[in-house]
Amino acid sequence: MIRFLFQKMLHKKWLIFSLFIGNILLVAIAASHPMYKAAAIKRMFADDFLQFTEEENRHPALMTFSMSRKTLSEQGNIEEIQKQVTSLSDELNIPYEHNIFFRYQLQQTAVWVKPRSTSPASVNFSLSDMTDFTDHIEIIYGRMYEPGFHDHMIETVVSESTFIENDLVLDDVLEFRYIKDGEGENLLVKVVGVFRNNEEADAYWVRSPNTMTDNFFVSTDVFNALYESDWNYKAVLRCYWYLMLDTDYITPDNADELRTKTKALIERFAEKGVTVEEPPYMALLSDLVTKVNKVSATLMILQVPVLILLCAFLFMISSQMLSLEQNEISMFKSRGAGGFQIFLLYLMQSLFIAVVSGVIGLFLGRYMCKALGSSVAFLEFVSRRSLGVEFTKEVFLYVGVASLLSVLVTVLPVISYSRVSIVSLKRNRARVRKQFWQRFYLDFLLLGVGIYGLYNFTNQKDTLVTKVLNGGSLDPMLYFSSSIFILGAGLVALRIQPLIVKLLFKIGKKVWSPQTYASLLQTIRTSSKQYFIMCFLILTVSLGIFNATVARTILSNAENNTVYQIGPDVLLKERWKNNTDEPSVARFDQIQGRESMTLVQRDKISVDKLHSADFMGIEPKRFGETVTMKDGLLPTHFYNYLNALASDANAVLLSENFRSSYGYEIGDKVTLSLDGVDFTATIYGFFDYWPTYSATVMEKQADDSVLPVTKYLVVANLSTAQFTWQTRPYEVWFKMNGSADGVYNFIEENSIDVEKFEDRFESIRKIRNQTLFQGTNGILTMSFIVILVLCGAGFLIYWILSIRSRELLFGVFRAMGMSKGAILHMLVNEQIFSSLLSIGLGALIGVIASRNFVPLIQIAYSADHQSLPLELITQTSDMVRLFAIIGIVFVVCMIILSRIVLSMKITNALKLGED
Amino acid sequence: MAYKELIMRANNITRSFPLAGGGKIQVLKGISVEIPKKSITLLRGRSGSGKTTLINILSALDYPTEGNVFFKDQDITKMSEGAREALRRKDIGIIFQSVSLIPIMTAYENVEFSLRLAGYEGDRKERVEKALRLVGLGARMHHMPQELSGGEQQRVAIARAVAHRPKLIFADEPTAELDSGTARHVMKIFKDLVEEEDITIVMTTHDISLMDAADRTYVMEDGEVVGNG
Repeated sequence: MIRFLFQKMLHKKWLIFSLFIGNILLVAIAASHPMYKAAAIKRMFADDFLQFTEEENRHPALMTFSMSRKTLSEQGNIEEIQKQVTSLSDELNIPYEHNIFFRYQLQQTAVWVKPRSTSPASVNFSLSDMTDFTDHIEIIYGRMYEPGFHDHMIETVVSESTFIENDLVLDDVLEFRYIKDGEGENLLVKVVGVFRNNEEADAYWVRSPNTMTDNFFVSTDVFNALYESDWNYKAVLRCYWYLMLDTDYITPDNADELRTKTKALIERFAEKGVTVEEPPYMALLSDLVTKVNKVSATLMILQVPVLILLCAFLFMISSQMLSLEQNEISMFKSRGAGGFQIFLLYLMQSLFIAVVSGVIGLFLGRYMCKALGSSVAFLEFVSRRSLGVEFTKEVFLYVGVASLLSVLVTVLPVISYSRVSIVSLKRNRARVRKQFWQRFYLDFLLLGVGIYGLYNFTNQKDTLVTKVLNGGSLDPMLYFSSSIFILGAGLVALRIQPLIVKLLFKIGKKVWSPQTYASLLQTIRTSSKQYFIMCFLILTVSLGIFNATVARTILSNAENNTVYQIGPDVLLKERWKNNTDEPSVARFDQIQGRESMTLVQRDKISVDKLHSADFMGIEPKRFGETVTMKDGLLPTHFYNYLNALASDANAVLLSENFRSSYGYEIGDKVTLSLDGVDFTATIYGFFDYWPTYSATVMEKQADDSVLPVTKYLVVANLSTAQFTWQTRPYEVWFKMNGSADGVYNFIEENSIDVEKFEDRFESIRKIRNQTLFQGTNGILTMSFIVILVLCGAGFLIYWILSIRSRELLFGVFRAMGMSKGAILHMLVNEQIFSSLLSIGLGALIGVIASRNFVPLIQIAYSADHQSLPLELITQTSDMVRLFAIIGIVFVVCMIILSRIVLSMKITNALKLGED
Repeated sequence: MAYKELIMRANNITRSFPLAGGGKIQVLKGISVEIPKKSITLLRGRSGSGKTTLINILSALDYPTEGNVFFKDQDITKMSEGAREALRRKDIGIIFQSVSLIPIMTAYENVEFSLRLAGYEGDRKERVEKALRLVGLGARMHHMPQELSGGEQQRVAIARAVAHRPKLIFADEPTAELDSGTARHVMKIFKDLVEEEDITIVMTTHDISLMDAADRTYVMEDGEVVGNG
């Protein structure tokens, strides 16, 4: 049986090959999901922790325990707490990066043994010790302390700030008033060195040495010796435990557990009189979990259609193979083989394919996952830090389920075929049956459901926005509706397509050439056999277009809005010492790569003492040179607005809502007030869009709900504003030559005190790196490529099989005197009437679905900063790719068909009929 | 039998096929036949005697290795492929051993299709209906081939072969899959065609009982004509 199976498979090698392709892709996509999700989430965690460290300059997993020990009875307590803190890492099951015990004895008074005329009479300082102190410092003056006591004297090193603050000199010796050494003499301390941290950014220094002004560090041995002697009875001991967990080990899996445990341990320590500062990860993780859920939900939703498509492909190929093997199956049946035996044969075949594909698919999945991680836009990849991809249990689970699914889908058609005997087979061939979805009007039902979903979601657009702003993800029902819509429309198109062909047939019935006549009839009469391939083509093309539009639109929309909201390429606002301390503008000339710059004053003012509004003072000419504004946002060119402003020093431009809400008109005078100083201006125009301006902004309320807030903007001449209100801190807007590096260097070199800084290049990079966008782009790209492969394979397989099964018929045509050219012509016609028509209808459906659903889908991606009207992006290059692939497949198909037809011998073909 | 004008003449036809393992097999070993106009010529022999190969060559479906075939005065073995196709479309009708109807077309459409191919100038509908009535299928002309019995299908094939008024009809074992009653009916149709439509018929058979219907019979054995009459 097994030998027979392999012979059978070898005989149908192209179909088997297609089954392999479909299966491998199915497994690969299924496997890539958990792999990518895990890796992406891990990266999200790492990115968030890193971002926190950079922005807050704190370790995201720092737990600070502190307590003061005042009396001896608490002696044991410290050791116990020390033990407990150390064991926390085991308790939380996360290793720590640093476990630092920082202790010092609170300020003690000492006097100089040899006072200098300039030095103060006494100094207060704290003898200190810190775990692993010596590993994290370097000595900049003097030398490191020696441990031990020499003639009642111990050695100490101090930070630069302690050194300066206390007017110390190297080798100064100080005498404690109240601390004796073991021999009852007053303890002497000698300052032998000055240290600083040996690395610029070292998490070890929770408190930077710069901020320590009275800590005298001594060796741990000395500290312990003193600690055990009598000095500690007279001093309060401050203890800090800094526990920094290794964030690499904080994962989505243990995040919840970590939070619960942390909460519990904070309470537990508090009961012991230890103050615990809540680690930053507590807040970070709660945000992250929301974000992670959103990302993984979105990725899942986006993958479903292509998985369904793959199943459909497998089903199609499997059915095709079965219909070719119908004769064999019927023969088996007639010779007494049970349906079960036939079923078993196909089950073995499916299992064999599933197992082999499972292994290959697993590795392809890993490759895909890496590709996903390097996608920056639709169909664009860059090489950059690779994603840490692992084969987890979850991955194998997904692979298992996918393989099972493929076995199910490929074996499913066998059940109906194995019931058929040769007699009923012949009977069936004669009957033209309507497809089940047509009999029950399922196509219209699906389309109706899709349209209903669209209608419903369109009406709830605002709710959708609010939901997303509160951390919701792409609504599965919305994406599902779009898929249902496409499927429904595709099936309805299958009703329409035969009608179009029939119409063509009727129109020229009398005059069609024999080959056109035959091909039209072939298309009409065998439409039930072609439904699947047509349906498949319609779905792949429409879904391909839809996916490409979704991917392009969400990214470009997010980028456009960001660029618009930032305003210029780079925005820099310096912190002025006071409002009149204007720094020199000329300094900015040295910025490399600067194309132009302009000053922009932004303040809050009141208009006619009634309405508060945002104010923007600009230099019209330079503003125009520095800022670009997308065409089509304003009724006339942006420059016309700037020219109007420049024409009159007292001109102002107002946002449109001044007119619609407050009734202002062009030519009206308005009084602008800032800090009690007024000036009267004339309205020269209204605008809906202005760089950085959004009429409605979503603002988070105190109770975490999100409400839309209306914004008003007044734009005036900067010179007038400065004349009226004097020069106030302004922003400097730069147009850069493709990179913001020049400004970064400028800020560093001149130690600029930055109050506000925006960099559009970095912002766009950030958007593209966002897991949500990256994953979406990656998955849609992957789906698109899979669609292209399936579309090509499906098309080719269908046609080759269709030709092979009709060789006898072509022999008859040839015997009747049709030339080979005429037969080829007939085949081209058939392709046009069925495949190309399907592709056209698919494209139409794809465009319709994109128009209607993409505006809703993109809400999930940029609800929080939608200022600009949405623009659907259909990149020509994507369509070119799609149709080029179809074109290539079409040509390859024609070449193969030509070869089959041209090499066909009439007499051989006719012999096929002699059974 | 009175002398009749010849419509086709084949001189010394040989045909060999290459064998898979090298070498070749000679199927026809120098056969000459003469086919008079308005007659029924029978090629009789057991299977493997070479009759199908011969009829393929006579009907311009295949080429001989050596020898010539004249249709009227033209040597069809020297014609271009296009001219041979035109010959098959217009002057020749072929009926195959097994049923060879176009499965996507009704009986009517099958017959009409041969008229389209031949570029038939007259009223196609009238001609198709006449051809189908001739074979006794006027009532079932709008059925699909699958809905017809084997005999009915063969009759449609005959109607299709004659509809465009070819000069010469070749039939390879047209009665092989039919019961004797139907077979006799088919032969009757052939006789009528020769009478009414000015047609010449060449057919192969291994059925001796049909011999009395023929005007001339060539008996073939192992690639050679071993007798005629």
